[in-house]
Amino acid sequence: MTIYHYLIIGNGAAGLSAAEIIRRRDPAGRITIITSEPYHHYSRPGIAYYVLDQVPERQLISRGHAFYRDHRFDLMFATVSQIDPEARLVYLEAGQPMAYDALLVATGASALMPPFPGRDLEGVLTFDTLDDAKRVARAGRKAKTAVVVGGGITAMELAEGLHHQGANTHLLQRGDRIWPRLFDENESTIVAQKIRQEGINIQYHEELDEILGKRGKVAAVRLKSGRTIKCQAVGVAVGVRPNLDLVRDLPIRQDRGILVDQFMQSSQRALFAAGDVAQVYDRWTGEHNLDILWPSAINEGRAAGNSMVDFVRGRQPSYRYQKDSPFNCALLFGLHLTVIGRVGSSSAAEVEQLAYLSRGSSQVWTSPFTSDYRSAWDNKGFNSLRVVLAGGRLVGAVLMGNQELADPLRKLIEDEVDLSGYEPTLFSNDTQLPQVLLRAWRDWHQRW
Amino acid sequence: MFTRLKKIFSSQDSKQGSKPPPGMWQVTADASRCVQCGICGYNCPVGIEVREYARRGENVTDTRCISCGACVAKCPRGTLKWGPAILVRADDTLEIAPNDLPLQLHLQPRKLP
Repeated sequence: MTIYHYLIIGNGAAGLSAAEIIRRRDPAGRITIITSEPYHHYSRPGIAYYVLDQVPERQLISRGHAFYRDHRFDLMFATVSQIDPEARLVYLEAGQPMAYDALLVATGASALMPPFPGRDLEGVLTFDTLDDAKRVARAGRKAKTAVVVGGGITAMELAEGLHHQGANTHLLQRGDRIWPRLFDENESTIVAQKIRQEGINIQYHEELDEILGKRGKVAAVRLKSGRTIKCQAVGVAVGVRPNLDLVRDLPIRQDRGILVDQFMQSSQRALFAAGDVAQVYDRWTGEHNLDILWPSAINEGRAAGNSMVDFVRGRQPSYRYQKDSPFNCALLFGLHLTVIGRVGSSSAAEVEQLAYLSRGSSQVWTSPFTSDYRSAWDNKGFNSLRVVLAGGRLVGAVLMGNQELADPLRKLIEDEVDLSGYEPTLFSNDTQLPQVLLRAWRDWHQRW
Repeated sequence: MFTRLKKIFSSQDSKQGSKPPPGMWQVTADASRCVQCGICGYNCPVGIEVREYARRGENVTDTRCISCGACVAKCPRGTLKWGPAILVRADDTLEIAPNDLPLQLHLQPRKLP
């Protein structure tokens, strides 16, 4: 019997869930995981909670040495310098090249750094890895004032973390509201209120122009408006970019990520991709889309693992990856937030068409609608609910605060339930949106 | 050991914990919401590794669970919730407890698999 060698670059959610599936289906196979970080598998979204001192580093590492030993995964702490897909070889920065039968590229995404002058100074922070989180925590403790640039979840997590560690924190927003790509005015106001309550200053219509340094360290930032803010730390979270360095020059179909089919296979037959780096065919929009989401990474990793086993055995791939409606939830400044499916971008957001996704979001969320859509919303205090209907079907929802409807709405969206019968009541002004949706869900639920 | 005991008693009446409604309830998990951050297990006063249940989307069936609700309250993503308990029948099959089950049943000892 041939022993196949499965090589996985990346030790994150996608890489490890692929490895688990491969081990389940091929007990004899050789599985090598290469990581450039000095840790075993840890929870990447969890680094936000690490900076808030809610969980220690030891607890964040969810798969320790014993897990790798028990599953016979060879974990290599090394950096890959080159892939040769023709010869099926992977070159490491040090040591021998490694041959593989199937390769998974699950290198993830990393923060984008716009070309600010002074971007290399000490105290300029991004928020991708556990090492970054440690730097952020240290900088937050030392700095008197910190400035964070960007919309999106990561920027808010950075601001919350730096503030929690004791820095007086400013959050710079390019437009007149928070996360304009996703939030409408009302939702943005709620989040802004929470941020202010926390004690973080939001500066609207401000953009970073230059980071000023003194002796190699951040000393101040100059804004486009001409103002300067004295600070010792600058957090940059304007978006992420898939880590394509290894495949950029290879003859592989790629766009913003590696283009893969529904079996996570790229145009090079032995090369698979999953997670943030993969741009996957999406049945909701009919395009290839990027998701920078944890659950998507796990599902893509599983699909890739299955396809890799089928591939080395010379079989037709058996496991078709069905992209879920993208979903994420977060706790921002004590406020629960859930985003499901397609929620569209409002007209004000089109002004700020940044080409980059922020971590924890999906390209699908804000992709423009081709057909007519209507949205209904309701809010009470810190609770807000917005649903989007297209063609009588629920396609997306944003929930803030009260999360009671999160699971019902997710079910209704994923099963593409026809709600056209409720449309008149949904859009009339004198009905309570949550009650109507709850009734719709109960009616549908009872039918099954 | 002593601090751990103290933690049990403090979490009993702590405002942080999320109390289950009366009846037979267990901590349930929605795997798709979980990011394995481990806050649940870190806050568990008896040291149950809750995230292993959450990874598989299973109820926390560990018999050491004292239903203090610390994990439910601390979970930042709403993964953990109180839900109907899963009972093991004498023949090792599983059954979902009805919500109105008398509380005494919970206290009866049962043989563990």
